[in-house]
Amino acid sequence: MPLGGYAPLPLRLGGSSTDGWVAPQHARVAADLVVLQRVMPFVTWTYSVAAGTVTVESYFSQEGNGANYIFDTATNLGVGQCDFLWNTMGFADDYGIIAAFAVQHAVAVPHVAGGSPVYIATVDLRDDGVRIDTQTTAGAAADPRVTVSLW
Amino acid sequence: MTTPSGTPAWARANDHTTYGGDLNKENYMGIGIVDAQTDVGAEQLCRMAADMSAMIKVAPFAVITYLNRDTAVAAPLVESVMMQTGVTGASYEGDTPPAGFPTAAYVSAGISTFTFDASYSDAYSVAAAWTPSSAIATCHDIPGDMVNVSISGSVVTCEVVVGSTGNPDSNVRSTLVVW
Repeated sequence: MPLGGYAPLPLRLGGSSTDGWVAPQHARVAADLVVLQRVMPFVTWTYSVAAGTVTVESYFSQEGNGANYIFDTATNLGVGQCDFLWNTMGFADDYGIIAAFAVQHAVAVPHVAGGSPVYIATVDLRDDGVRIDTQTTAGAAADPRVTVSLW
Repeated sequence: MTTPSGTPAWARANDHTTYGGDLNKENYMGIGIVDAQTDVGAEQLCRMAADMSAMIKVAPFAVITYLNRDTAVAAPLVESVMMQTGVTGASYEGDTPPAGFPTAAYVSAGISTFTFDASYSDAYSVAAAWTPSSAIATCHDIPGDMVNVSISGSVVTCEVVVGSTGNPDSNVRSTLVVW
């Protein structure tokens, strides 16, 4: 059944490469979509700290991107330590269907501007988000720009 | 049984045509979507196909959080794995993984290896070879610790060290992401 205005749902597979959608293609979409939803990060963001104030420079999440979807709390607790927390761990898809998200994995990678010093970031998973600790390789607390991903 | 077109996502070879896209795709008789609640248009299918192709190019193959058990001289405890081929429901002893999940081994203080299979199959039993190409890792809970990651064949080696000294650190939890 071809696509378009004369081919309403439910969709019937078939047709040609220019006007339809055949079963093997649909099957590959189904298989690969399941694969992708297993491994895609829930959220990735980059932040920086200046004078004790956290700036989330970019925020990409499965719920949405940008300032409207950002954390409820992004706080610098002191040099080299920031919390990123949500008030609730339920998130909605584009249809308003809400499901809980529990942080199970996290990676944090500090950015380096023009060479030394080199920074180290570690993560501390929370029920409501994550804490990021950063320091130089010499062991001094520091606030580099950091990119973080959570699963 | 239908055999899906193309290859499993981790082969990273599928383009938009695998998923039903076509540069010349068009709506039947040139009639576009009449009712958005019942119709799927050619342009929407092409967007889906193009975005699927984009995502499979960059999606991680595996995300693993594990706990080294150096004091016990034991294989790491693999606490959670999210792989393109499956997700663990519970932690496992690194040296006795469930079928399809990587083996984790103790090497020496702070050093663990993760060994993957050479090939994996999708939900339709279509197999594709895979070897790790890139990996990053972050330590949990111990400020100043870091993970040096290296890859050889199907084995990813993670070395947890104290960043300021380079000395190995023991019994540390880390997250590893592999492409």
